[in-house]
Amino acid sequence: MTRFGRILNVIAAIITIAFAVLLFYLDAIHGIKLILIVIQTTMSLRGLQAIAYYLSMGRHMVGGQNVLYRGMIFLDLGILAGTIFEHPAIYTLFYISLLHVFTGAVSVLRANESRKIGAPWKLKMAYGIANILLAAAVVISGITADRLRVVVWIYSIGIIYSSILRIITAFRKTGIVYIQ
Amino acid sequence: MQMDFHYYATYCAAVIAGYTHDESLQIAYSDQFTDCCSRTLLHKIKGPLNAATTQLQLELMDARTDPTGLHDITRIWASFHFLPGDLGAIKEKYCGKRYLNKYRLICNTNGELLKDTVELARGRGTQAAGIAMHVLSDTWAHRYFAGTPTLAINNVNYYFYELVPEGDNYKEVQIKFNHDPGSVDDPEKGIYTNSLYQGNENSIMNLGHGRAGHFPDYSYARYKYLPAWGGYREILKDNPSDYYHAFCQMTFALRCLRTDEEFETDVYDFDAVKPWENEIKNLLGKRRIDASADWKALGEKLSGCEIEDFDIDKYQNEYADADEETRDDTFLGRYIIAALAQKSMVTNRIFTSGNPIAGVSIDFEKSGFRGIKDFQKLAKENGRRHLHD
Repeated sequence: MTRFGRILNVIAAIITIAFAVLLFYLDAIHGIKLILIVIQTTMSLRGLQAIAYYLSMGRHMVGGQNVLYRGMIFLDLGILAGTIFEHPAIYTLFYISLLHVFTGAVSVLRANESRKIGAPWKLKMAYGIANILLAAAVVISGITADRLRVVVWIYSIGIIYSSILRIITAFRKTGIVYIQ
Repeated sequence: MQMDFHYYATYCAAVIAGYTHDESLQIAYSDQFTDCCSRTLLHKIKGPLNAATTQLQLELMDARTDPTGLHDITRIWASFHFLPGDLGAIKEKYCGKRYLNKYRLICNTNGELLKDTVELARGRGTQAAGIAMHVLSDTWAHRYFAGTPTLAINNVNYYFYELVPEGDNYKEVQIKFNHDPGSVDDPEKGIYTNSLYQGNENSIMNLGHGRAGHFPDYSYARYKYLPAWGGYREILKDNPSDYYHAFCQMTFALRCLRTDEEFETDVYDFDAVKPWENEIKNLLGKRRIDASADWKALGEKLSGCEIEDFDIDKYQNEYADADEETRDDTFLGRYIIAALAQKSMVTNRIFTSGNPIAGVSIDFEKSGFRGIKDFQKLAKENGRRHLHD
């Protein structure tokens, strides 16, 4: 990674952490709405990104039109997410818990596979279990206990975790020495 | 390519090139080991993880596809399995830099990097020769695919036909791909396993020939398809002919490494292989998943010695039990240094061509030692070579 790339990564991670900290101080309804805005923006950007990919690379590719259609669908979904802005809680709960369950299940399965072939697995297993527990916490606190703030906090923790990983990656030595 | 070619055929080429039975076995072993030396294996023997020459399916599923992750994947696959054919390639129609960087990583035969690869192996023992032979033969099997995850280059679609010999002609059979990793390829029914379609440009599913499954690795495969990068122009791939060229080029390259002759691209030792031409062409063309038994029989006929089966564990204890000072002089120690040298050289060539996909290469002479610590072994080995000279 170039020095400029590292700096950009660190800046992006710091902004994301600041956003996550902000979520901690908001009340539940405003927090959920803010999360929904993030989801909506992410989907729309993903759609735009796919359209940009089509224009820069996909059009040179056999069957590249599929990428263009996918981009348009994501952009549509992003815009659609904006229409549920008035009743965001249940959709956000659903989204966050599914995200954690899926990530956790995949991680646990991979940890099992790694264990079978003698590869490192404990960290992956712990990560998987933690994600499943977080999903359970979202459901229990959001639906059963009706404590929406916990849902916002869990979402924030997820963001902080990935930002820290990003910072670690930015500082990792990646160059390869070349000896003639 | 598979073990039948990487182990047994390489053994045959080494014997024809004049190596002894033991040397030929070591070269063949190192060639095949390039498909086994994953981070998981290196972790087990406590070796440097950045010497990995391949990635297991599970490792690939875990691999990150952020820029750093992509650098790592590209270094492994472009250096050892999909050597780029032309790092300065130009596309006929205008295309952006981002596309061109991927396009320039398409593997092909007889590129400048191949010469660099073979010459890098000179004087570095049978392990380096084996790695160079792996890289060389894979340029024939993997040509037209790139050793980096890229949908825009590596994707294939339903237009994929095998040309099956029928009398004096060929019949076209459309290949059916499924995505079940547990299923076995069926040449008779034309059913093969490939990776899932993933619309994300950098998805790991779009690495190398994953979208065409193992099919390009079979020596009997003659096929035509529409490569994603080809502008709807059909490509005809004739593996029996390509694999024969690979064998004759390997024989020439090994002869060069054994003697002081300089390696040149597009030169094949057809004369030395001539006495076994029919036998080799016959076994390359047979429609079956594994040709090891026939190659093994040919190798034993050539050398008059028994060829032991490939055993992945053969040298692992020697390496794992050695102390820090003598470890680099073990069989795997020398293999690891040769692998680091190859990865360092290819990364440098890609980086200095202005292509950032394999990451940064730091010139030791200009900047001293910086970057990934595992490569300190290379610096040490360089010091030893200078002392020896």
